[in-house]
Amino acid sequence: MVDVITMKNEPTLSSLSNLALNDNRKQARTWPLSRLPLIKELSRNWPLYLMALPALLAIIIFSYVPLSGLLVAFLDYSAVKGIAGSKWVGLGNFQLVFQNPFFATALRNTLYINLMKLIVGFPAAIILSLLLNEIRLGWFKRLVQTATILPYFLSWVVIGTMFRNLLAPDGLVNEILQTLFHADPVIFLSDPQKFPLVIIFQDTWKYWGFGAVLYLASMSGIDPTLYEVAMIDGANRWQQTLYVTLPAIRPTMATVFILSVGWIIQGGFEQIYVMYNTSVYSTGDILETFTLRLALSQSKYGMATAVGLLQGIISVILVLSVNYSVRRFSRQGL
Amino acid sequence: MAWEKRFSLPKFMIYCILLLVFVIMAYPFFYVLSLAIMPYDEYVKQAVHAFPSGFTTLYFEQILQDGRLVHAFQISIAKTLVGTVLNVLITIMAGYALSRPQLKYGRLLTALFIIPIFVNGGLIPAYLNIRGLGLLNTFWALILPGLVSPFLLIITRTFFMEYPQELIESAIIDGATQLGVFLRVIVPTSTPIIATLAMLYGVGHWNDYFWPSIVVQADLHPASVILQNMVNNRQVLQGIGQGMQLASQSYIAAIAALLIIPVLVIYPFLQRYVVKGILLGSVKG
Repeated sequence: MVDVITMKNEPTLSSLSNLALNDNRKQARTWPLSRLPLIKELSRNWPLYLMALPALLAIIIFSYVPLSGLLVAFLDYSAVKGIAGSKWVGLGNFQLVFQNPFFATALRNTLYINLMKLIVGFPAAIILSLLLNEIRLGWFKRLVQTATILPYFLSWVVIGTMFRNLLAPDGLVNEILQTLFHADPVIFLSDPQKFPLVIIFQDTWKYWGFGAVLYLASMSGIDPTLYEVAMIDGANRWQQTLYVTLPAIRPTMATVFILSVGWIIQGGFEQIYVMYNTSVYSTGDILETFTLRLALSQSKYGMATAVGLLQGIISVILVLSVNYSVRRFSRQGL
Repeated sequence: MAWEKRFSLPKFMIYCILLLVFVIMAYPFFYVLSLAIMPYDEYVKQAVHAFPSGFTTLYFEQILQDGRLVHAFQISIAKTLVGTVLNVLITIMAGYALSRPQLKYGRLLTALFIIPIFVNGGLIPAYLNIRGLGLLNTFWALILPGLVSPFLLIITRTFFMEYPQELIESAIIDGATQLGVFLRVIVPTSTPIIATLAMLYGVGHWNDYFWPSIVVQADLHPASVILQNMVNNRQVLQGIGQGMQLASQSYIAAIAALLIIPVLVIYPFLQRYVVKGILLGSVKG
């Protein structure tokens, strides 16, 4: 690289005569590299680049290098032979995935569970924030807000333990049902029909308060004179909510919605992994748990990576197209 | 305002609904903690265990006597402390650097950090990468892969873009170098973002369980992995507290309580920063 640059800047005979007059040229001859914008920029701002370097190295080594591992999706991968030694099978893994009977079930469950989480969780957070916004009693508002956001900071393992204790055949919910109604124990976590409902409830429970905080914050930015004007016009609290608060938080709603759409085809793995068992595979097995079994117990790394690749592509397409339509119809978006 | 002082039915109903929400959100916490302190004979006496009766620290003592569990909590603490310090340091340095307007390639580098949010290799390539680097079954396999979160880096960058630039400029006029500005001006005045990063990264490390369960072996498993193994497979519980009367639910609840309590204790102190920090990143993101 150095050679090329020096050659480029090698003064020709005709320009040699101008050399003394042309300061720029002179500099170019003495410090040929400094003419390259990259080097110039680096020498000027090197402390800043040095500060960004550790993060940059981390992201390259642990996010970009593994991208080459996506090649596994097109290989008959064996751990012994490595990526270079494994046989190229083209789209063979994708074909195998579509033929696998568990794939269709896992795809259906993924779409159902994640879509229901969005349908329940998205409005729930907005409603909670609207309710909290009506409260003027400071300590009560803080108490409810803290209680609703705390689960966001808990591990799924801990949340799983809580819910197992509560919902087990000898757990609290069944104890109450038995004492009050002499009902037979309800099996929540091993019943394929009830399992997805538990998952959807649990997810809403965990993320409810976090979502509400986002909306509360954008409500705090609303100009109070808007409410005063609305009151002078005779609007009651409900009408103020409908015509002032809701329109004001629309941009936040759009952002949250667009980003959530990407999670319809992927995500939710840790929760299911903690909660599920073989008796609820028919309704609880999602693409991530399906591929984990493919990889860990059957060593089908190629198929597992192929499913992951498909999910990534679909979720990017979903986010981009929803972003496009939201922008188009309401002039909001990312 | 008049409508606040008057009793109104809708207002009353909102309070009732939120009280119910509070109970639904807080009760599971209360339930786990009360199971963990309920003595065995009180436990078997009652048909419904909605509220604690009696008090014992027996389950916590049992955990402290189990060398394997103590070791697991030590791993959790080490992972959280080492990981969080490195995370915060690296993120705040890069976030500040990328926020500087004079950085010509700042936008390009920022894009480089954003792309992995959407495009990633997934579990298997990540695992193969760790194996290729020879990090399998080492403590660093728990720390290095999550060294910088693109999402939190963007929050940090936004924070520094909104930072009062006059402070930086006046320090430079006074002859400070870029590094000097960072250490003497930026770091001491950035408590909100440092607290946010520490809380979110720290909780991430403390709660992490799936990744540790696959990249390291049992002697490096943090407490969350042990808890998960116990819940999934009650046999692990055999041999604990022999000759004593124990309720396995209570034993598991006590481990869960030990994972909950640090979060419960630390969160109130950082709350106002964290909420502000989350907003900064998510609204402007």
